[in-house]
This record gives sequence, structure tokens and C-alpha cells, in this order.
Amino acid sequence: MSTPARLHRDSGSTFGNLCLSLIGALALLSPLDASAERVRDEIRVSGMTFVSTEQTGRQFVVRAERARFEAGGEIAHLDGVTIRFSDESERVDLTIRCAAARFVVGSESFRLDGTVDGIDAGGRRFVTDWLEFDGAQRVLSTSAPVEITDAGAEYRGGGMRYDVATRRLYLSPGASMRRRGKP
Amino acid sequence: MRWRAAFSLVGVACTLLAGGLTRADPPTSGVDGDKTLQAATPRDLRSLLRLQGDADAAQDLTIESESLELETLPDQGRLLTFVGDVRVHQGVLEMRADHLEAYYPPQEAEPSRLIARGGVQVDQPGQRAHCAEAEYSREQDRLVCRGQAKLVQGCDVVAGESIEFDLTSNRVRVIGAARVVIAPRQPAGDCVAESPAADELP
Repeated sequence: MSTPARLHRDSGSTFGNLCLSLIGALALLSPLDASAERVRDEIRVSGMTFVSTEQTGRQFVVRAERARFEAGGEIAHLDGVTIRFSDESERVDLTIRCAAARFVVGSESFRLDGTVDGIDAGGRRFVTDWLEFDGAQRVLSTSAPVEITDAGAEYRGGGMRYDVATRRLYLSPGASMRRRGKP
Repeated sequence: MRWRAAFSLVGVACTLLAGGLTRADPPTSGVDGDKTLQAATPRDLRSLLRLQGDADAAQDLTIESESLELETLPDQGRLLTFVGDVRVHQGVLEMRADHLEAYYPPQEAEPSRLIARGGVQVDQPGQRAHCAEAEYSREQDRLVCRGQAKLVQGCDVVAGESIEFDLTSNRVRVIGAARVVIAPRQPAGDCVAESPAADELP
């Protein structure tokens, strides 16, 4: 049974001091971890977990069933992806799942593809074709159509922007809400 | 949302507002005042802005705008802010405004407070209400239209700086430069909202 690779980054002034560099981690993990193997110049990992923690205690965790790191280890292509954003008290604010992702380790940015499905702490669920995360701004965004459902209504937007820190979600251009009538 | 239900009570309320007024022989009669008009006995304004609201809870509600912000507040309540060419549809009711905010308390599916700003206009067949800003409070069960508020049905008009609808007591108060115009009966559709009687009021 393979041991999942676990990478952890603590944030410093903005996003953190790198406690364990990814490349270093992989270099260490490769000979020890049966789940990681080097194929040509790529490194493939099963059961990857990446943790990014800010000074405030907010963090996000990226988990992938499989990860393929390009040469240099800066860019990872992930399959079977789950990402969880949590607040200072470790309460999960937002969980996102998708089929595939491209993860840029240095900037902690990623693009999610393949029916991106998210749910926030309030039970509001969204679906879109793709979604980007800007690691510097801590903002999720897409210009693809978005559908959101919660207990009372359905929302649609021509695009979406979600500020992780403030938990504000913008739908534009064009937005609509529909609430079904009471029978 | 209770916009429709709120305006549906306008008819009832205006019957109270119309207290003592009788249809005048001249084609149009006006009641001017710079004080509050308060409830009395209904007669000629009985049908003024009598909107068909109660059935609309069964209708789908849709709101469209140029953008929408959904914010989860520290108390876990939610604030929805629709901005730009906001259009609300429920059954035959339509509302337009530049900006609409709806606050939902935690774990509740109905907003406790609604604020519409900028060219607020509520329409349904034969009836129209408009003002600069409208605020609904569920706790107070009250709707307040501020800023050149006007209610029109056919050729009949109630206008003032502000119009308050107490939805519990079914009372309406028209505050500031209050005016009421009651026009003689017109064939259906002759005088809806764009009537001279309506236009002559601020």
C-alpha cells in the first residue's frame, strides 16, 4: 500500500515561508515513497496532498488521486481533485471537486477543469465548466456560465468571482435568481 | 419576497385612505395636502391599486440584473445585492430598479429586509407604483416608498413625498405634499398609469 505524499506550506507575510520545497519534498519522497515514481523527467505521485497555511490560520488543502509534475516540479497536473478552503478556526468554508487541475506550485494558483462542483459552508452549491484560483489575490474566478443552487433558490451568472477571505461571490456579466413558487 | 404581497394590500389600504372622498362631478378631482393622509372610510379609491397579490406566492419569482453579489455575513445571514437594470418578475407583477438588496437571516429562506433604489417601479396590468427608493421590513411588516412616491390605477392617483404601507393594519400614510386624484370612470385601458391625471402629479 502506497503512502500518500504530503506537502505542507506555511504562509509568512503573504503566503508563507516555504517549509518544505516541493522539489525537495519530491526528491526526498521519491526514493522512499512507493507512490511516487520518476518517468523520464516527470514525477508521478499517487494520493498527493498539498497544504497552504496563512499566518491568520486560514488554509487550503489540495488533494489529488494522481499528480504528474513536469520537469522542475513547478507545475503539476492533477486528476481526481478535491480542494478545501478553511477559515481561522479550521472550519471548512468551501469544498471544490473536479476531474482535473493544473497546479502552479510557486504561486499556489490553479485552474480546475471538467465539471467543477463546489459547495460552501452554508450548503450553497455551484457548478461550472472551469475555475481559476489566483494565489496572490486569493480569488476564484471563471468567465464560464455558472449555476448555483441553495435551499431556496437557483442562481445563474455569465461568470463568477469568489473572494475566499471575505466569502463574497459575484455573478456577472448578467445574473439571475429564480425561486420556485410555493405549491 | 413579499413585494407583491405588499403591493397587493395597497388596494385595501387605499380604501382606507380614501376616507370621506366622493367621486366629484368635474372630470377630475384632487385632494392636496402637505400633511399626512391617514386612513378613513373607503369609497372611490376602493379599487385604486388593488393588486392581486395573495395568489402569487405560488408563482415562480425571478430576478435579473447586470450583476449579483452574494455575501455571507458574520452572523451567517446572507446579503444579496442585485445591481444594474434589476427586473423582478412574479406572475403578472414586474418591478424595476437600479439596485436591490435582500437580507436573509441565518437559516431562513425568506428575506427579512428588502431595499430597492433608483427608479423603483412596480407594474401589473392596469396598475403602477413608483418612487425613488422602497424599503420593506418583515419585522415591521411595513413597506415604505420614498421620493416622489406615486400610486396609479387607471386615472386615479395617490402621490406624496413618501408613502408608507402598514401591512398588518392595512393602513397607508402619504407623507409630504400628499395628493389624491380621483378621475371619473374610464373604459378599461384608457387611462392606465400614463393618464393626464397621473401626469399632473409630481
